[in-house]
Amino acid sequence: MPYRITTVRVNGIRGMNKPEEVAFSEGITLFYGQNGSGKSSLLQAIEWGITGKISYMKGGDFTREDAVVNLFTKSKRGTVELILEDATKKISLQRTRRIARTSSGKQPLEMKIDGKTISSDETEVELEKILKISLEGFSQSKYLHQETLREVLQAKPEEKSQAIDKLLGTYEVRDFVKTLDIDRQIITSITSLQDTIETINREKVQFLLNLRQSLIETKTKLIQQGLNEEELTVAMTLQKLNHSISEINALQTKYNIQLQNFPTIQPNSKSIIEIYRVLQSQLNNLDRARLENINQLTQKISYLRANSSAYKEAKDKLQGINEVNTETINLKIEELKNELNRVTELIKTVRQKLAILPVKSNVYNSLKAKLNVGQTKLIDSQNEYGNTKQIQNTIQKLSEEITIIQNELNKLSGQQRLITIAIESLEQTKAQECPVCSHSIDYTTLVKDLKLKVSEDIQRKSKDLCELENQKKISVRELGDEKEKQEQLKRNLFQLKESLALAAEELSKLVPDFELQTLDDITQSWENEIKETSIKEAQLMQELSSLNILLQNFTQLLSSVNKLEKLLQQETSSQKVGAELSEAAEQIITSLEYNIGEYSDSTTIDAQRNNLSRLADIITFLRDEERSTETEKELPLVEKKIKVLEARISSLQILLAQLNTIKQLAVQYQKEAALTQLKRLEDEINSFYSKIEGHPHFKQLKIDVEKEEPLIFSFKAEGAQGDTYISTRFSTAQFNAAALSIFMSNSSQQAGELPIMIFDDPTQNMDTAHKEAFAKLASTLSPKFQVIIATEDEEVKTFLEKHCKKIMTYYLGEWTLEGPDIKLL
Amino acid sequence: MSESIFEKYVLEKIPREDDGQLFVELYRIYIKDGKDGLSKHLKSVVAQLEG
Repeated sequence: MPYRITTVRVNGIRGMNKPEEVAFSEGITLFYGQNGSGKSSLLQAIEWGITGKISYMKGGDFTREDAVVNLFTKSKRGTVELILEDATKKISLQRTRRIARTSSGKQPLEMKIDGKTISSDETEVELEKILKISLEGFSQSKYLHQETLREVLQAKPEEKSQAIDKLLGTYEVRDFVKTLDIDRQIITSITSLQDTIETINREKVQFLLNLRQSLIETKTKLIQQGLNEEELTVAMTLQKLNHSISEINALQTKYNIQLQNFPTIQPNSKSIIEIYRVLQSQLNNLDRARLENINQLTQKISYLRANSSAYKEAKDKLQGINEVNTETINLKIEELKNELNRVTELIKTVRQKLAILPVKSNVYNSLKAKLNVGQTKLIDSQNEYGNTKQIQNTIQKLSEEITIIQNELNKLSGQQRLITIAIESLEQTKAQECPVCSHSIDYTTLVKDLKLKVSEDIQRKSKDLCELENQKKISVRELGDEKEKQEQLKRNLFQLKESLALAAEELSKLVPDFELQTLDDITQSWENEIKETSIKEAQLMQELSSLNILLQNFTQLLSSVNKLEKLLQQETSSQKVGAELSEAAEQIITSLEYNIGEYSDSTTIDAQRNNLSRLADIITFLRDEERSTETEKELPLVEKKIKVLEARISSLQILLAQLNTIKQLAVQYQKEAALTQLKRLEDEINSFYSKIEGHPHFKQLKIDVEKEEPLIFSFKAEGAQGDTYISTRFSTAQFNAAALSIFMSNSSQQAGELPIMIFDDPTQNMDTAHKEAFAKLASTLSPKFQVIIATEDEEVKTFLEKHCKKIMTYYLGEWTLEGPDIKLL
Repeated sequence: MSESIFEKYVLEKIPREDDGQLFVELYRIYIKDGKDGLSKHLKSVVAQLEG
């Protein structure tokens, strides 16, 4: 009876960061849970425990961190222990790994069997013998990775073929061939070396040939120019250069110009060229300095001439105006300034008067008019009512008359009272006779007459007197008012007279005889005065300005003469003045002109230039000759270097050929192995395929090699009426079924003493019917095979539990930092 | 079918002995250090030959 995995203990591997122990069914063990819950981690732990590797964890990011050991595990190490059991024996396998900086590296396997512990490099070989399998092939033949299935279903032809290789167990050869494919890199290296050889040839060999040809041509040309072969030597050239150095040194002394020293001459072309260049440079510097000196001297002569001439001119001018002394000019300026101030002040005063005059005149005239009106009013009143004394008399008279009228009225009032008493008495007594004269009377008639006649008369008289009295009283009041008015007028007139007198006084201050002239006349007169005075002011200012200019010119001229005199004295180094100073300046100019003559002679410089020019071709010839000799010396080394490079190219070409031979044989092997394997598996593949309900028409799968390097498989299905490419006719579920069939057939072939099939998400593109078909097929694999399945698909779980008699289902809850929560359902 | 069969297959068919030696060397590196290790080795060989 073959071995089965009965228990797996995992701690700190992949997503498992705490100790977990899982028991396995002899039939199907199902791990069910959501994506990311740790199902694949558990399967990878089994793979790592047995093989020491986890597929799909190579290269790329996996070289930058350890993806095998759990990042959160406290012990920083991961362990997997697998218990394998057959009918009689029990094998314990254990692998441990400390966390590293990369996912690569393989840890040794420890195996316990029959009470012995084997822990050496040979442990895996021993295990392979016991289980009769290749541990390297475990990952392909016993473990269907979800990535492999995905590649078959979704990838391009090359990647799809790569996945088929994985299912068939021939992937390693493909990967090896692909790694050997560095043709482009080798060809680039060969091209680079060839370029280097070409560059060396061009720079050395070709250069030497060109140089030799050039030397012959230059020599011929120089001999044709009249030089003999002796002159084309280093010794002769050095002699000529030394001569030029002596000449240039002599010129330095002559011109009193200090240039840099010449380097020491060596008998080789390099030194000659250096000296030649220094000579050229020195000669140019010397000539430049010579011309600069001429220029400076010319400028100095011009400067001296200009200053001397200016000095003479200024001195002559100064002599002419020297009699006018500055003190006189200053006095005159002072006088003019005073006069100008006076005139300006006068203009100012007249302008002020002109401004005040209309105001004052208006005040005066207004007062005068008011006085006239007041006087007229008084006279009119006096004419009408008399003067105040007369008015007082009239009032007195009228008052007396009023008194008389009032007396009369009192009398009448008395009479009225008496008559009233008489009437009352008569009416009471009803007298028949007069009490006074005893005359008989009719009192009734008498009373009637008294009432009618006497009373009416008295009343009439009283009324008349009252009216007269009122008239008199009105007259008295009117006269009183008029008297008061006259007195007020008199007071006003008095005040006006006083104001008028003041205004007249102020006006007479401006214009003494103002009453004799009109305002316009006075204004005109004053404006004329301003005009005339302004003209005078302008004249004075002009005169003052002229005098100032004169004074300034005089001062400047004096300063200029002094300055020029000082300058010329400095230039001539003498204390002379006037004509003697001018004469000394002329002598200096003559001396400078002589110096210019000396510098103007460029004969020696020109001669040296010609010498150097003639030497140029000879120096070039000598340099090329020396370079030619040196290059000839280098030639053997160059040839040696080229040979080395050629040997390198040859080695690279051999390597390229060797790699191509290996690749060709590897591909040949890969092709043969794949075809042999496919042939061997053909029946089983189709058997599995038909069980997972394949295509209704295309019942048989046919996988063949379509192209080599890289190896591309054609993936076809056969029907009664011909073949078809699966990718064009099949659904992804059918494709999924085909991939599962290849895996299961290969796995059953490679079963050995460990008949186990591990499926990670095997039904990722299947519909319900295909899922059930797969579940049924899986159930038939047991008990011949131990089956381990990881899925998140509830339908698959249901079908497996429905069709499988021996099944253990584990539920993996949500993954946390503590690791997955594994529960046996 | 294992890699050892592959190794035997190639060595039997390869025409030159030194090519066979190279194959064995490269294949063992691949088995030991994987794709990255072989790739690194080949780069180093080419660089050494290029100088």
